[in-house]
Amino acid sequence: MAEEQTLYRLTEDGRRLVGEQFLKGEATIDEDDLSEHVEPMPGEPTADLESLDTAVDTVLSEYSEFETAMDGALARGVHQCLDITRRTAGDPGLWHWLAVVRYPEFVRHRWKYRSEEAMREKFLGAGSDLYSNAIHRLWWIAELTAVDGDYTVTEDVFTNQTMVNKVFDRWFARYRPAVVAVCRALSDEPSWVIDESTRRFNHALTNIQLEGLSEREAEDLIRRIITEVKSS
Amino acid sequence: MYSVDGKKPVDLELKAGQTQIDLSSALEAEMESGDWEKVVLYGQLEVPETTVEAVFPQEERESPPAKLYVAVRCHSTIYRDRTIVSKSPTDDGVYDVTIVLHKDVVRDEVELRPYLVRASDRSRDGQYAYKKNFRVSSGDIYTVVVDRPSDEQPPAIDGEEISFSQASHLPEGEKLYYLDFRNEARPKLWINSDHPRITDVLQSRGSVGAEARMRDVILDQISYGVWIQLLIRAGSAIDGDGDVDFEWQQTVLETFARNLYEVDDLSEAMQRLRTDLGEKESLPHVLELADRELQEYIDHRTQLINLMEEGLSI
Repeated sequence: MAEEQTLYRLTEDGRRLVGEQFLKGEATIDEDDLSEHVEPMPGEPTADLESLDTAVDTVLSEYSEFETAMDGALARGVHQCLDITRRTAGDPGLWHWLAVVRYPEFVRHRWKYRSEEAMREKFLGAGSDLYSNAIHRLWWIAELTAVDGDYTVTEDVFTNQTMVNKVFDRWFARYRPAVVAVCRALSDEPSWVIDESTRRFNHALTNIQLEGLSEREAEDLIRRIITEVKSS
Repeated sequence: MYSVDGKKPVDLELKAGQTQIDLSSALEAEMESGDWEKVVLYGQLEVPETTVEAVFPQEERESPPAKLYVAVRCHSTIYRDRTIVSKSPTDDGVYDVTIVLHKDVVRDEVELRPYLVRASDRSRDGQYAYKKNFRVSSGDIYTVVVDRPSDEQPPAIDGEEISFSQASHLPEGEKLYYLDFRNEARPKLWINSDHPRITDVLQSRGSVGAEARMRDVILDQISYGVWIQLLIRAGSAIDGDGDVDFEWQQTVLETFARNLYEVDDLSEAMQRLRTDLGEKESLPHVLELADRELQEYIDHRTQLINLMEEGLSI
């Protein structure tokens, strides 16, 4: 079993080191400058970074640049190697360190530079926006869809970018039983059904209180909606 | 009352109307002597008879088919859950509530909000909620602070000082600040460093004394102008489905929309705001509502009195 390594965080001040040239991959950040702004995570949680290094290297070698399929190939590994609590995962500095210091090649390999703002998000986003930081989004989507160590739903989600976009862009995606139910029910559906069903499910929540739903109730609701969508 | 890791419960000593429960100091003290694993909060919820009468038809009031629970939400850890207080039937009366917060799944602040929802379907007659899990009533939001806000916490919007006279993209004149929406996804607040006397005060870190009090008053003044713009912008961004594009818009609307219209349902409040902002006749009314709400939210009065009493000694 690989040895666990300490996790670090990039401080708020350290974010200033991330300039446009770095985002474009045309420059690196001076290690001495960087070391001043990197500190151990509070409570000093650890992770199997050696295995994660291997998983990232595999993805870099096996997938072409900007291929969305690498999300699904890496999500499970990110989640399993970073066996951390949600409290730890809630620290944006951790994801900034992982993206900027540990795996910047992966971020650039997965996300094409389209604008400084968009690329800055991929390196320095985090928090409750599941769409921002390139590594944070893999961990959180896995966290919200893995069921007792079973990543079937996670893998289904990442094979369908419409699902990633339409489910995790909605606020109900922060409630695990609903996420799992919706993803399970929609996993084999075409994009137009996913699009319309998630919109209607979200709309139904104007009257239904989300946290009152069990996973089974959420699944009954989304399946009823899918049937309506297909027959309309 | 609250208890940390099974220790003797401590009174919360909440004042009337107080909805923030700040446990950060107590939990920090726990961490100095080791760590904490869970906090248990004890309280009571009342379901008034008038509520039962208002939301259930006559034939159901004897034994209301409802469940009562408290939604537990932590924004920082993308956590949403609930604690069941009463299963169906739920009569009017007072219920004891015990909420357990595990350290592993919370950080910063945790929001608690009680909901009463239907527990079964009934025939639709137009007057009462008829579907299982339809929300029929809710209570105040209580915020439990588990971590002291750090200087490093990301602000709601980005902010930066800059000399407006040196920056061609910022407005001319003696502006104090400018809220920049060129990137609608991430508004940015620029503070004009052409006024160093003011920016120096804004940078002061103290919590007592004239400078700190003055800083708080200036911040209140700026925040009023910022919030009103964010609120109107967010309200104008609501689409026909009741959705907005950006997280900051959702956050702003979640914070203010319900209070503007004094309704519990966020979607209803958002639709009303969207409609009102879209009509010339109702626009002055919305601005009046926003002004009232922001005065309540910012509470200028407190910082002004602090300035008078502590800063100016009058």
